[in-house]
Amino acid sequence: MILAFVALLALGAPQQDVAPAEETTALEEEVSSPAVVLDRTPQEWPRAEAGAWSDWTPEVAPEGELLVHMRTAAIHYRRGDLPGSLTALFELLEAQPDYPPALYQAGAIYFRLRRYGDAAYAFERYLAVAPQQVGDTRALGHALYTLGRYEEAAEHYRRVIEASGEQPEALRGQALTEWRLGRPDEALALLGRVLELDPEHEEAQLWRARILHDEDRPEEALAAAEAARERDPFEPQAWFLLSRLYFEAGRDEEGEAARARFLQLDLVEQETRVIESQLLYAPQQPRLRARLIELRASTGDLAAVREAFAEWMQFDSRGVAVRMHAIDVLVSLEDREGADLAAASLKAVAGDDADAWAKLARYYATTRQRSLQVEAERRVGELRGR
Amino acid sequence: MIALVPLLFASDALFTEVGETALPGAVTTCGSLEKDFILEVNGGGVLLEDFDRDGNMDLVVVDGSTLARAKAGEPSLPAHLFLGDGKGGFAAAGDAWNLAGGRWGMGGAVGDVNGDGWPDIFVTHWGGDRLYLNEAGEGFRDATLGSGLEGDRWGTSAAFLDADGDGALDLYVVNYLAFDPETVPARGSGCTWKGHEVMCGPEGLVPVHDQFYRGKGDGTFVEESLARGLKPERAGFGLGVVTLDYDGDGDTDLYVSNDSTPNFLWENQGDGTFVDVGFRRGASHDANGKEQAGMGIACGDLDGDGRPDLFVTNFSGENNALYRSTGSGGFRERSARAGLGGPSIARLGWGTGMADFDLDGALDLFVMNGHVYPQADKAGTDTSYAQLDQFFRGDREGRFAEELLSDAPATTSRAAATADLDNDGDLDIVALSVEGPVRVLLNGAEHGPDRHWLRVRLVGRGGNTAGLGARVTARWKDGSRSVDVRTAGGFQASLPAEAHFGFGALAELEALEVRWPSGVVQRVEAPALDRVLVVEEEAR
Repeated sequence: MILAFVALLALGAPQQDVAPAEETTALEEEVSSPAVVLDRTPQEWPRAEAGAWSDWTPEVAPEGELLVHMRTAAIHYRRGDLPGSLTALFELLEAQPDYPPALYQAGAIYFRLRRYGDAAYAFERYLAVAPQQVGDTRALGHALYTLGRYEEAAEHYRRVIEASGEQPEALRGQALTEWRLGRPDEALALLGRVLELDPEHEEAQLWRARILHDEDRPEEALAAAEAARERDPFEPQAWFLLSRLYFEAGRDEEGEAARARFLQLDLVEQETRVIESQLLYAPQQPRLRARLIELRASTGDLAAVREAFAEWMQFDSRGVAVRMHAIDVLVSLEDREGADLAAASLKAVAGDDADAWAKLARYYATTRQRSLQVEAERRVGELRGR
Repeated sequence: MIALVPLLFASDALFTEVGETALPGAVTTCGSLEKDFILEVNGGGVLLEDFDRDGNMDLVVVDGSTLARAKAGEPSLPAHLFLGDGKGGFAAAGDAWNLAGGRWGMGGAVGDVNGDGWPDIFVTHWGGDRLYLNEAGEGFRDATLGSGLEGDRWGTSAAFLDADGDGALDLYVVNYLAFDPETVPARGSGCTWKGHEVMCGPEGLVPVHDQFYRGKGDGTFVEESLARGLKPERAGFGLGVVTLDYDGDGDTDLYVSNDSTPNFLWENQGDGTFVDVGFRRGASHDANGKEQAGMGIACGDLDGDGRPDLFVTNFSGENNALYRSTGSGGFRERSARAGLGGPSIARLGWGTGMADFDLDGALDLFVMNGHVYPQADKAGTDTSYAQLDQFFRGDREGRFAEELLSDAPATTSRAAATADLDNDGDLDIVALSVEGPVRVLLNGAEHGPDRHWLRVRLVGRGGNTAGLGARVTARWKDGSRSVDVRTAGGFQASLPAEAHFGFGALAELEALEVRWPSGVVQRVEAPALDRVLVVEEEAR
C-alpha cells in the first residue's frame, strides 16, 4: 500500500507498509473530512522529547494507533482528498509528536497544496528527528526553491545528493537553483548529468534549452527545445521557447506556427491550473473534473486524459458515471486500449445499474467483443425485467 | 506647512517616511476593509507635477469610494491637490483647485492637453473618467464634458503621448475589467485562494479593452482605438502603462502590464498606429512562457546601451520581472540573475520606479508591496496582507541588492510616484496604501563630490510643451545614459515630465543631447551638473 501511496506523492517517501488495499473499503464510504485543517499551521504541532524517535528507521512498520492514522491518511490521499489526509496526520502528530513518517507525508501534502512554507517547515521537522534520512528530502529543496530561497535550496540539494547519490530530480532542482543564483555553467553541467542518467527527462531538456537561450547560444537552444518538444508535445513552454527562437532566427513562419500552438496549449493550461488548484483543496467537484478532461482532450493529450480519469476514479472509486464518461471520451480520442480499461473498470462497478450495462453492451458491440456484448445484454435484460 | 529637518534621516534605510508631518490628515478610501469585491483592492492614485510652476513639486491624490456610496449614486471622494513647499512638505490647495468626485477614482495622468504650457490632469475611474484643465496656475477647471473622454469603463492607469507626431498629446487609457456589483460574485461565493475564501477575480471575469484617444490639441479628444490598431487578439486585465521608445526609432511606443494576462508592447509604426509585438519581442510573458499578474511598471536604461529596460511588479508566488533589452531589439526576462527574482516571490508588488535614487551613477529600483487579500494572513499562504516595501540598490553590472525602503512598518502599499520634493536633487516618493494615510518618503541619499546629479526639464515647441517622448542622453568620456521623458509609470501614477540623472563621482559631461519628438536633435555642450536644467526646443 505504501508503495502506491508513495507513487501518488511523486516526491519519494520513506518506505513503510501502512495499509493493505483491501482494508480501505470502510473509509472510502466516508465523505471527505472538512477543511478546517487548512486554517491550521504545522507550527501548532507539539514537539517530542529529545531523542524520542532516535531508534526510528524507515524499516520500522507502524503499529496500533500509528498504523490507523497512517492508513487513514493514505486512503484520503489516494482519493485525492489532501485536506482529509492532512487532518489524519495532524491527529497523529498531536498524539505522537514528531512521528517521522507523518512529518514527511505532511510535508509532501503541503507541497502538493502549494503551501511551500509549511512544506519546508514539515520537512525540516522531519530532518530534525531523522537526520539520517536527508537523502529522501529533495522535496525540501523544491519547496525552498519555490519560495525563492535559492541559497538554502542549493545547499539542501547538495546534502541530498551527497547522502543518496545522483537522483535526477535532485540534480535538476540543483541545476535550476544554480541558474537562479547566476551560475549558468554549473546549471548546464548538472542538467547534462540529468540527461545522462535519464535521457528522456523532458523537464531537464526544456530547462537546458531555456538556459542556453538565456546565454545567447541559439543553435544549441533550438536543438534542445526541439528535443524537449519531441519528448512532450503538449507542454506549452516548449512551444513558447521554440517560437521565441524561431522569431529571433528570422524564421517567422515557423515562429508563428509555434506561437499559435503555444497559445492554444497555454489557454488550456491556464484554465487547467485554476481547476487543479481548486481540486487540491476541494476534490469532490465532478463538474470541474469533467471540465479538466474536456480541456485535456481538446489538445489531444491522451496521456493527460487518462491521468485525469485515473485521478477521478481514485476519488470516486465506485462511480459509474465517470466510467461511462471515460468510455465516451477515450473512444472519441480513438484510444482503444484506454477505452477497454475504462470498460473493464465500469464492468467491475456496474452492479445492478442497467444503464451501465447498456453502455457496456453498446461499447462491446462497437468494438466487436461479442462474448462480452452478450453478457452485458443479458444483464440489461435481467435488470430491466425482460 | 512644516519644514522637514535633516534630523529625520536617522535610520539606515535610504528613505524616511514623513507623511504624518509632510501631509497631515491626508487619507484615502477604497471600499471596505474586508475587501469583498475586486473593485475594493486597487487603492487610489498619485499624480506629481509642478502645477503652479513655482519650482516646487505638487501632488494630486486620487481618492476612491465605497460600494455603499456607489450604489446610492453618490460621487466618489474627490481627488485633492496639495501644493508643495519645495522642502518635502505640502499644504492643501485653495478652492480654485478643487476637483470633483466621479464614480470611484483610481489613477490618472498629467499632460498639457491644450498646449498652453500648463500641466492638465486626467483622472481614471471605475465609471466616467475626468479631465481637468489647468487655468494658468490659478486652479483646475472640469473640462470633462465635451472633451470626448467620458468613458464609462474601469480605467486604472493612463498615459499621455504624442503618438503621431502632430504636436498634440494623445491619451492611452488602461482598462481593467467589466465590474457590476450586482453581478460580480462577492467573497463567499466560492472563490478560493490557497484554500481560503477570497474576493472573486480577475480570473473568471471579463477583461475590457484599453482605449486610445487622439488629441486635437485644444483639450478635446476623439477615440480611435480600432483605427490605431490598438485592439489585441484578447483584451487584458490592464493595470499599468509606460511610454518608451523601445526600438529607438524616434516615435513613442507603449508597454502595458496586464493582470493574469500577457503584457502588451505596442510598437508605434511611425504614423501613430500600433502593433502588439509583446510576444515576439519577449516582453509579454515570463521566461517560462507564463503570463504573470502584471501590476506596475518601471523603465530605465540599466546598462547604458541606449535601449530601455522594463521592470514589472507581479503577484505573490511569482517573481517581479526584469525584461532586459537585447541587441536584437527584443527583451529577455532576466530577473533572477539581476537579484530581483527570489526577493519578490513572497511579495505582491504595485507601484515601482527605476532611477538613480542614491546618485551613485547606477539605476536602482523600489517596489511598494501589499497583498490584495486580507486572507493572506491566514495559514499556509507564504505571504501576508501587510508587507514591507523594498529598495533594490543597483550596481553598474545590472545586479541589485535588496534593502528595506524605509523603517516604516509593513503596510498594504499600492500606487507610488517619484519626484524631487525637496529640491535637493535626489528623488523622493509619494505612496498610497490601499486605504489610509498618504505617505511621503524623503530620500536621504548622501550628497557631495561623489554624488552628482542633473534634472532636465524640457520646453517643447508646439502643443507638446513638456516634450513628452523626447529622449535625453547624457554623454561623457566613456559612456552615456538615456532617459525617455514621460509622465506615465508605476501603477495608477503620474511622474513629473523630466529626466533625472545620477552620475556618482562623474563631475563633468561632454554633452547633453535631446532628441525631440519633432525629430530635432539638440545638443547642450558640457552642462553644469547638480541643478535643474531647462532646455527649450530649437526651431528646425
